Amino acid sequence: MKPIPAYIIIAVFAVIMVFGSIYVYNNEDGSYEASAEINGDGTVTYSLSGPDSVFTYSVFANTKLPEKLFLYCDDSYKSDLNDRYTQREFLTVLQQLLERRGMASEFADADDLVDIMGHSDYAVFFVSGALPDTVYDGKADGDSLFVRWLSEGGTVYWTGPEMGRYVSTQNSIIDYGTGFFGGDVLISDENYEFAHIESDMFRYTQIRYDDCKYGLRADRADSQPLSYISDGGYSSVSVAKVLGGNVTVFGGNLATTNIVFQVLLDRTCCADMLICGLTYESQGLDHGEGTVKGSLSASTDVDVSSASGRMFLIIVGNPASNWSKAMDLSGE
Amino acid sequence: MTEHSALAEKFDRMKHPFAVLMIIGLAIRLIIAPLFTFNIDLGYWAEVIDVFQNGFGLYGTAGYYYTPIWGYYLGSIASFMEFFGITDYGVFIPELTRFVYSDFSVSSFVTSIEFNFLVKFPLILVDAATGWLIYHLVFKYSENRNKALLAFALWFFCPIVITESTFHGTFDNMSVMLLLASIVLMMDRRYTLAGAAFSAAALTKFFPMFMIFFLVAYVLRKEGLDIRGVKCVLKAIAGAVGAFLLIYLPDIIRGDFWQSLFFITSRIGITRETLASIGPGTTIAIIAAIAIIIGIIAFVVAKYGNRFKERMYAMDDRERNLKAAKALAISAAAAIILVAVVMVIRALLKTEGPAFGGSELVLLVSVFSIFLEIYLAFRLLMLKEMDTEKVFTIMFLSGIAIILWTCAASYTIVMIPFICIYAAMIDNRFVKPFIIFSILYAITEIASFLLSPTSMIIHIFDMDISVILPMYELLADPVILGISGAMILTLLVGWPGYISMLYISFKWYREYYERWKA
Repeated sequence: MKPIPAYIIIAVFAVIMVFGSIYVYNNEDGSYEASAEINGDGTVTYSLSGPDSVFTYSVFANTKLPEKLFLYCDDSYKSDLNDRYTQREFLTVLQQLLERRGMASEFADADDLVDIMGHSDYAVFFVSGALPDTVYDGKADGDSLFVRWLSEGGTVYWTGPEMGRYVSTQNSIIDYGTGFFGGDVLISDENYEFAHIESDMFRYTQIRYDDCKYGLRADRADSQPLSYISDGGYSSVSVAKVLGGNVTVFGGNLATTNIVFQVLLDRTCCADMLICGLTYESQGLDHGEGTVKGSLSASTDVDVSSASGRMFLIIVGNPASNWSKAMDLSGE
Repeated sequence: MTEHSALAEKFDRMKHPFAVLMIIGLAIRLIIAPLFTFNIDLGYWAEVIDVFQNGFGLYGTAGYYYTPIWGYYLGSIASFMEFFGITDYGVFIPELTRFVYSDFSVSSFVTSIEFNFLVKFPLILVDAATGWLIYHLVFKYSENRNKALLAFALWFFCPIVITESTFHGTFDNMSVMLLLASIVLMMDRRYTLAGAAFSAAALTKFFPMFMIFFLVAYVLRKEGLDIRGVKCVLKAIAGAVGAFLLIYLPDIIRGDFWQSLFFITSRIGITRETLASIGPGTTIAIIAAIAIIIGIIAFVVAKYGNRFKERMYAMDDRERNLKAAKALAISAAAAIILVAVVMVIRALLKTEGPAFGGSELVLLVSVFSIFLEIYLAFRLLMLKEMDTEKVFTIMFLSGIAIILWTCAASYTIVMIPFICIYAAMIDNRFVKPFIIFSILYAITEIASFLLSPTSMIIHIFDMDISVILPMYELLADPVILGISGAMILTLLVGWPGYISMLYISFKWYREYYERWKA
């Protein structure tokens, strides 16, 4: 009696392994293409091609993409607030996600920030939870380089404890008690605080990020929640006007999030948000969703011709996005 | 040996009993699979697919923690879904996120009906394939169709098996299928292929590794404790290495090999950072060390194996077994103490490595299991005749020695085929204890069963999560002393399950040990 069942099982298993490994490692470069252009009647015609998937699209007004994006990480600076390896790993992954979505970014250390903050059209992403002493002195109303840069319109993406409260040096972390947001930040002893009420902008942003620890109050002046709001009124992702600049605050700390089921979802949400340059003045103009099977071309219904700073965002995939692209429609 | 005559009669009355049982078992699973789901893992599988759909392969970012085999399986499912235009994986429900960190963990992603079905369907076929292997093995070595059918039925209708493939959607059964394929091939002297299958089994889930002693002992006992036997073992090792390289090639090229072991190393406290820091030099040194150890063992066995065997055979069986048991018991105690001391020191120094805590006790029990497996392998090696009953008894004992600790129901899957085979082939008096164990242990998943209609509520009845949210609150929120309702429920129903599992070993010991000793 030959071991026929074992032969068949091993053969089928081998086929599945080969098939699966090819698929797993065949998604390196992103296999979607998209374009969008505004029509004479103010609607938008967009096209999308690639593997079958669900997608959503949104049209925003008053967006502003930074000229350059820098990811702050300095191993020589004290950072007790979260693990250094985690910071670098998070930023490396974010960089890859952004690259896949057509947005370039560069790593920057504490000294680099001095030069970077000479350009108000640059943006910096911080996961360190503390600003380095090369650019900030712990006084939100002071005259540090960071304060001046923000006043001139700099853009910050922030995650972790309240921006401006902690200053890091090469030897220590100094707690100044408060930062740029005062009492508008959710301080909690819990590891996570979750929000689940969809904000008005959620429909357009589709940012499914729900940790609102360290999040801003949803009703804070000159700010708008982009994702979920908690029962207590705190936002998981907000973009706020701080001095003259744009500060986007992600609740919790994206780098240390280790909810197994949501790590990638959180990170792709972050990347999708970054590429479309939302500001505290941005508005959602139109939103739709569909399924791409090979390729499609369609038009939106809403006339967006009168808006300025128009951006068309298309996000493919679910639960986490597999790919996204933001297309500037302003023609400026 | 006794006959289960009532069942045998029923089988005799059936026209095509194997096909009938297969169809009934499949029908039960295919009805349940799309509708009822434990979302803890299904939601996670959807996220894993996102990891490689984002171009990270399997280990390019946090999100996938297993060895590559399950990732490749999900890759096949994803490509199938893509090919047939199935794009709906499910919905993110933020209301569920707050339960993710409770001691009864759930996923905040509620998978769609089609996703549930497509992920589980091949796992259901794995159940069937494993049943087929069990049938083949029992029929071949007992030459009794009814025994083969009984073993198949015990496996295929086992509530734990049905729960894990059909509700849970987890892949422990795949590892069991490959382990059994390896045993079938080994018994048929197809050593290279058996080694390949064993490698795939252990790379799917780690548990089959415990049976390596049984397999090596079987080959050496069958082929001889000499150069011939060593050659056969080396053939199996070549097959295992070949399969390993084929499975791991993409990950080795990408430098992700050590990351792929995170799920196992995390159990002993080794972080991703440490794994990421292991360079090619260390890897080569480890491979060289393993090769040297295998080489030395092979040389010693080839040269001195027969002499050792003769010396052992010259001793009285009882005296020999007692000596071996004593030696291994002392070694096991020393190893357990050593591991415990390392844990305590590391906990005190707060350095990386296994910390001493409740769940780490599992590691200590596993050390004991290893020595038990070695002892059973020794007994197999010392068999004077390759008696089917004795071989299958040792296989049964080796199977149940893998897990001696209280564990999730899915982990018990690895021992189930060996109990089914033993109960059907060697002693029917184990049928009832097995059925009781399989029912009681499946009930330990009661909290997950209560939440299993979530996909159906959201995707078929199109209802809001608020319909079932009170059940989540009841099960996942702390009830007493910070312990969740689900944990209390599991503790209440878990102990009978665990006792029923241990009872199988106890029953064997009580009824047979005296005879076995003789």
